[in-house]
Amino acid sequence: MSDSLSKRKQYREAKEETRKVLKHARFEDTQEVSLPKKRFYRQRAHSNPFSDHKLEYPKSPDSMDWSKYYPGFVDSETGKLDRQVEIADIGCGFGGLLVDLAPHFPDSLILGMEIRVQVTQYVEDRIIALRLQHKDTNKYQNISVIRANAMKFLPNFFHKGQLSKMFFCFPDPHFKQRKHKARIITTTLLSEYAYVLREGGVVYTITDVKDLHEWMVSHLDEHPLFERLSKEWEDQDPCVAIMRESTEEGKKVARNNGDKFVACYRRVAA
Amino acid sequence: MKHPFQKVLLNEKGDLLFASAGQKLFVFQRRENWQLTDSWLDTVDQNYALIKEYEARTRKFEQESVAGDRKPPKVPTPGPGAPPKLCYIRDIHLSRNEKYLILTTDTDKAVVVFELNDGSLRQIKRQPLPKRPCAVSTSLDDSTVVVGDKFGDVYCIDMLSAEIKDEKDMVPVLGHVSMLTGVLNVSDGAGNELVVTTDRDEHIRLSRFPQSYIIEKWLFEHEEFVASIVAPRWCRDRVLVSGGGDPFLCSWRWQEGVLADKLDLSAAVEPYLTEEHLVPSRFQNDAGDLKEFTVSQLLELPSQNRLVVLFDKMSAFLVVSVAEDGKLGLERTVAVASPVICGAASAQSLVLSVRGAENCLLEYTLDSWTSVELREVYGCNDVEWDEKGDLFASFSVNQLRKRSEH
Repeated sequence: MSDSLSKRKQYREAKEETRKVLKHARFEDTQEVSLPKKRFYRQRAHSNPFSDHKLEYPKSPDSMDWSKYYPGFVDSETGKLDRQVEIADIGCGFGGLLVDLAPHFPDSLILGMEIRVQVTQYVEDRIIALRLQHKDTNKYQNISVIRANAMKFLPNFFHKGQLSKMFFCFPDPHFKQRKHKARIITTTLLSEYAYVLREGGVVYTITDVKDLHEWMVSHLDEHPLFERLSKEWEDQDPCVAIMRESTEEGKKVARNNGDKFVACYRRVAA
Repeated sequence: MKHPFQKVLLNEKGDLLFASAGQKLFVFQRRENWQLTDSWLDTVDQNYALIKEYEARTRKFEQESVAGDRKPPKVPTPGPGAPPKLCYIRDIHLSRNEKYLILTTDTDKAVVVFELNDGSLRQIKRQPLPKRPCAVSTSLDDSTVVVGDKFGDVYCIDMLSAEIKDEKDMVPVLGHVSMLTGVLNVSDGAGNELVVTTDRDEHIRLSRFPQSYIIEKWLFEHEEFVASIVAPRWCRDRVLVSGGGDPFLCSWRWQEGVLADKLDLSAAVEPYLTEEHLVPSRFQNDAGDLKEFTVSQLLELPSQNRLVVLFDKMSAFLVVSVAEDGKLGLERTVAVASPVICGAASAQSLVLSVRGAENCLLEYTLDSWTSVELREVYGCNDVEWDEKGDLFASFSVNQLRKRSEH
């Protein structure tokens, strides 16, 4: 095993310890905290959404305990959250979008869902660090991340009509024809997204792969419960701007002068 | 050795019995006693997929290549170590009006529809699917076959038109990202039709039909895969009962989306657990005595307002009452001489295919729960089984259990 690998392992083990202590606690003492280093959390970009990962997911939305994810929003009397998660970033990757959305929607709870273990841990550590750094102002209490297979278990997390926004930023393109069912936007999965989205809620998609963009557009167009939002709408929507600029993939594409294709859809009444 | 019947089905009246062994389907009619009236053999080559691929390649080769610049594609043959292909008729299903019989094949992954006429079969259509079909229902008006596949997609097939679609042009009407284990069309009693789909990830989903992109609700309580779901007709469109990898049955007042009752079966089946029910060694406890059981089939007994509960590899079955409000009650446990493979029920009787020294069929009288062997039926079975390995394992639903380590 190479040196760098074992160094990664050591780093991650140390972080694991802090995570255990800090994840769900409010912070009292004033220790210096630094943001986690991304290079220690790299993981291959693909994950098989069909395999039986050892995932933790609630039996039903009612049995989900959100209090440890958003300790800043726990009602001291009931011990439960005073509001529900409203915005979901599906496949949130390294959490760039979450972090940038947080100050824009200070009163809404935003959840990142990510299937890769290490990447999820990175986002956890990032949020812990951000919360510590801003503990005077209580910023970043409204974002959290969960390791989950959203393609399989989304309805286990959210009630009917719970969400107002869903983001799909730079999803795995799954180029091969026979892997197309593994794509996160398909006509059949859109029915599940329509279920958890309220009427008027918005699905945001962005990708640098033209093929995938066209695929997502054609599937969303086909679905009776979604209606495309205009270019003008996109131009005035703050989330579209954030989505273009803030994700790690978005920045990478910008560095390489690549294209970014955006499509947004509104959930319409049945 | 004879291949046992892996699937049996009775009509409502109980005078028609359908049984499949391997790739052959038998139809029996009860007169004085059971008589064979028709049979059907799936003659499609077991290497259907390979042959199709070869044909596609050959076509491409003929279209594209200029003479002599490329070799023609090789005939694909399974390698010497390739495991034997097990092809079965897995599902047999009667339309609601009992005029049509629907079955699914493993060879070309097709849904085959027959017209039934006094115990004889006339094939109407054979529609191949992209993935192996594993759950069948019909729409309430019997115009459409609703079929779910191992990939989690559900397709609608027009039952009566002879038109066959290219499998590439088939578009799913709904999909789970999980293997489907059941599809069931139900009525809400107010003129609306819904389709219930169950999967390996504990889900029970209710969608409108045919607007199946509108999900009405999910029913959450199972912690393991769902293997069987029924809508007992005496509960008048209000109740669903489901079972599978969990040690309990669930009943649902599905229109309200609530769990009506939960019945733990552990104590009742405990005496019938054998070595076959031991958890695999990798997941076993230190004492090595951890056992698990699986509900494999729920059968309605409408004349008694009861369900028969069958289990994987178990020499017993349970009789459970279902009240109109969904309340479940364990009525009795019936021991069987050999492990049960599958079963079917009609208004008057229960037929079980069991695996003994000599595989056979048992017919139970519903009041006394005594059984007779249907020797005349089994005598007609001419399907031989000569492969090595555990044939019984092929019909096990317990393997749907998730045992992930990552």
